Amino acid sequence: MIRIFLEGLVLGLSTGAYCLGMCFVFFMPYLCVEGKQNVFENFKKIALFLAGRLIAYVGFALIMGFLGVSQHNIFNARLTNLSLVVVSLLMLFYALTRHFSDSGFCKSLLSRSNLARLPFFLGLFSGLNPCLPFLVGLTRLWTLNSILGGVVLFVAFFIGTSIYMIPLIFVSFLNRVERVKQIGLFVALLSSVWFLFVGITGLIQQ
Amino acid sequence: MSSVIKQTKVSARSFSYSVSFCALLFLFLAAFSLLSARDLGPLFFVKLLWSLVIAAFGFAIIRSGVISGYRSALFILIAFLFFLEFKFFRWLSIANTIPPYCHIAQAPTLFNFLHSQFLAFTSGDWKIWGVLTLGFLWLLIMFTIGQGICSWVCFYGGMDEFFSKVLNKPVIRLNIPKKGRDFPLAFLIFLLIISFLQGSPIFCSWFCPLKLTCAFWDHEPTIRMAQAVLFYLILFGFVILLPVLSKKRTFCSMICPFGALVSICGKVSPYQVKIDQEKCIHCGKCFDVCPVFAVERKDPQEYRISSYCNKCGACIDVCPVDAIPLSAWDSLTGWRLQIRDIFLFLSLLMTGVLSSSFVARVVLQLLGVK
Ligand code: SF4
Ligand code: SF4
Repeated sequence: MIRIFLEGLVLGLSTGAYCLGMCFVFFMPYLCVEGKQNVFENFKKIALFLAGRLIAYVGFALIMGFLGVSQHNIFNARLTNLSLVVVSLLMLFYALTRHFSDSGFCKSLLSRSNLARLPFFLGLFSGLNPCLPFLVGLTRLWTLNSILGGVVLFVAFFIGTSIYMIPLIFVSFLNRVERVKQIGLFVALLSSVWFLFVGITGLIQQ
Repeated sequence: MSSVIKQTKVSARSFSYSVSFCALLFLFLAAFSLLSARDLGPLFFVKLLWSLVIAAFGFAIIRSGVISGYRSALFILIAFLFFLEFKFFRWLSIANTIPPYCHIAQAPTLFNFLHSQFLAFTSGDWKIWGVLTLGFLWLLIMFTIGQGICSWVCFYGGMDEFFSKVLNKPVIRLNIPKKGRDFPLAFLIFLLIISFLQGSPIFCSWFCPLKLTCAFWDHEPTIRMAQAVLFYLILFGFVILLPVLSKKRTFCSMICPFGALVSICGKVSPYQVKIDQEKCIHCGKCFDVCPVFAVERKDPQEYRISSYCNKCGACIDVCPVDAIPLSAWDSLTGWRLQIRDIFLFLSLLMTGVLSSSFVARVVLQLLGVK
């Protein structure tokens, strides 16, 4: 088990830069807009995001373990693309309502939705996206043939990749400048449309 | 106020000064032609001829004191020759030349480039560590003309400029709110991350309308269709139609990620276009004429030039009270040096040096000289 843990950790550490890229696309724009000038407040948001990712990883490892090797291929491609579509839609909804927050309709939508929980769902669904580190972890999971081993691997992988998220705590300090918030919203819009397209074409092609 | 408006252009120079400026410029360009052509063959003489053309433009600008008109003509001519050499070679039955590493592609793939340089560096293979050459050229441009690259040197910008000059008056009055002007910067950040994640130049395969080829498109029909739609939309919308109708360079100011990068890095250039608030009479002409939406109207009484200015000179020419000088280091030291001629010299020099290789080649090919 210790060997599997170390393997997951090293995998997370070595591919974490890519992982960060993928999470950056969704989470950084959110932090740019919603982040506070307070380390503790930002830490809470990042912790929620990480909790979402952890649950996604552990849940995924468990499901894969129960399903058995024969189902892996068909199931994981659909699940990862579907989660990409969901996270893109979440981000698109967020970016559009924030962007047009002056309109009455968007204002009422914003007041009714609980944005505090958004990082958790962003973490949950972006944790399952078909990014390179995730796919590498998945390949190793197939060869393990053990549910507990899979969970340990993905928990360690989560810890390894999470180290790269630490700088995110400071991203929101940039948003004292109004311009940064606007740029963050544009990035959120662009990324959500892009990944929505990637997810949908991925689903169609299966 | 009318007496103020009637002030003459202070920037027109005497004949002898203009001739000296032009001669010095020609000398520098001729020296570079000799260095790059390596022998006194046809290539050298065509380069020399091109140096003369650039110097003549320099003379016209300095003598008349009007920057934008002559700059624009030269800029469009260079873009036209660039497209002849690299894009329309089939129509002209000349040899296929692969363009040098595209500068627009550099911006959104900067992370990929740095990553590959890092890998090359750590592998110890110094021969493939090309960051020095490209990086040096980049620094040289940024520390001299800065954002001016977009209005003096960029061959692609010349296309946008050409279409923005087709009509005499705009059919539609286009204005981008201040918030929207930052869209290219967001687009750049998005492209940097996505290109890095996917390990490929996403801007080139998906968004660039100036490649004029479908060679980068995917084989999968759905993706290919989406790429084609984006390509034609950006080409006809932002490079042709909107510039023609609005007289603005809409691709350069609403999409180009290179322009966004340059707007940040170009701040190191000592030459900046600023409005002298004490002289300004708030007529708004600079706001109307700026092709890249770089003049901001804070309120009806205050106009400011943003970091998106690419020093085309249009506002300088149109200002009725000469309230827009090209100044250097004034924000750092409080000095206001009139360094317009040094900037013009450097811009023309860069333009001449960077265009001479392909201009000389296409001229020789058209003349049938091997
Ligand atoms: S502000 Fe003036 S010099 Fe700068 S791009 Fe606009 S018109 Fe050209
Ligand atoms: S700086 Fe602009 S607004 Fe002021 S006088 Fe000149 S053209 Fe008019």
